[in-house]
Amino acid sequence: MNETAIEVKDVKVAYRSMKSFSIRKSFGKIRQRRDYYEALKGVSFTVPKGKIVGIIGKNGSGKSTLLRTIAGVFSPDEGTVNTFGNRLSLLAIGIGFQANLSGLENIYLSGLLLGFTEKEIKEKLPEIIEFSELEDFIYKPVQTYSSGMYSKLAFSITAILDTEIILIDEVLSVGDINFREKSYEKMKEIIEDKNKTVMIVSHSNASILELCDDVIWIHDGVVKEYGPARQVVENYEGFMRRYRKRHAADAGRG
Amino acid sequence: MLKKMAAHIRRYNPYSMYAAKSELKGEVGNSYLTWLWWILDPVLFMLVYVFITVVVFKSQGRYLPVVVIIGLTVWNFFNKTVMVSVKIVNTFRGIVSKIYIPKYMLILEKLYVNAFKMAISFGIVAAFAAAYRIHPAVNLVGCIPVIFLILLITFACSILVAHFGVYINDLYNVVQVILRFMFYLSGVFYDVGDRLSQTTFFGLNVGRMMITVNPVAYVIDELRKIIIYGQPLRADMFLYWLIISVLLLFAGLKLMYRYENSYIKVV
Repeated sequence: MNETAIEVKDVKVAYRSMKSFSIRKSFGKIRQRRDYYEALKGVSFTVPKGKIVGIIGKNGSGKSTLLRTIAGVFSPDEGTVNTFGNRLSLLAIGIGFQANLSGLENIYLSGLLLGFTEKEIKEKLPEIIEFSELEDFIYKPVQTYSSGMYSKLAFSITAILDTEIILIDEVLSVGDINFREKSYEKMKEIIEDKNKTVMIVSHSNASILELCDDVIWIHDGVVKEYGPARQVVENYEGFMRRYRKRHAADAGRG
Repeated sequence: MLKKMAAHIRRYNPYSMYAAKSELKGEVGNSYLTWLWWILDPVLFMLVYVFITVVVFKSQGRYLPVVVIIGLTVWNFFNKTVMVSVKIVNTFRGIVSKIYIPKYMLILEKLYVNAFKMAISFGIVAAFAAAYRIHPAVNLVGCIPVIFLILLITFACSILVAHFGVYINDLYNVVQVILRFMFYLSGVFYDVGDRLSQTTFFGLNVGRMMITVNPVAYVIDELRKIIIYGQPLRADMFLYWLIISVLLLFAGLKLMYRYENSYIKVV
């Protein structure tokens, strides 16, 4: 159980808000100023295999950036992220589909992107189609789907083609009421599987306490605390109460 | 970087191949004339150019339809792949913002689609060559490295335009104009070697100049020489363009790997 599944070492991620520009509109203009914002300022931690780790912090603290950096969407400007060859997926958000292709083809494409082989995807195909409740719509182009159908398919792919590491950006509720309950149960089932390493970003402290063993508290791009869920959440709540009071007092003075 | 690229191609190539297959299947499914379009498209365009050349410009070469169809085969591949690459990151922003994929793998998917269509078009070239009683010579084997070269140079150019296309909104229009200019200077519907080999401009041989500055002109000219006239591959020109292609590819990959992080924040 002491095997490490995720190792994040001195990770720094900066956003250079470099906007796209038009050659036509740029004639005669002085170069635009580029903003620079450091979202992660040297984050380090390890997650042992089989652990469920929550990430908390106020808005803009760098939680989603951290999760996306672990997922590989962003590569760090400095530092390293090592997932030791484990396959990893961002649950519930969906991989992103090619709208002109059918749901079935998108299942294959998403699976291939996650690192599964065609054979492995074929084996899981009936389960994905059944879970998504799309029936014959699975053969129709994704561009004809409603947003609910789209979310159902996205969730089903990532939930059934489960990877060794699962990253969850907000415990999402997807589709209609029945599917919402079903997807929440499925997500709990995946999270509770002891072979999986899970990281969850959430603003709901109740969900974090219900699901997570440990919690990382991110504040202004650095790890403020990493430890047992209850202890970290209590400290975070205390901090946020003081933070809100200070803000209210400042607003009153202003 | 090359090691990283090799690992990425191994990991993501099944995705690009599957996506290309699905796109081709989709095209077949969405069209009444199905796969016949892939044959009709180059043949109809060839007829238009032959009509213009013979009827309007009163000019005629012995193998004109074969000359034109070779030009169109290469040009269509290069033009379609480069044009679609300009906005490729934007087109796939739903995917690149949610999961990591080397962005050139998206280009590779389009390259596979267009390479498949180019293969069909080469089948038409073979049919026309047979109809015009052009006998296959041993030198025909020289076509293989030339086709490899057009794949390589197209991939390199596509990566470069895809990178700059993320930041420059109207690059699509700029590339369109450049490609249109390039089309007329590639000898798609006339034979560079036949028509311009004796023409000089400021003391420079125009035919030679065109194949030295324009890779598509070189590939078209070389394929015509090999297929129609049974000539051997010109090793010096081939090596010249091979080196340029590899350098461009290396530069494009370096740029893409360096900046792909910021693509998601721009698109």
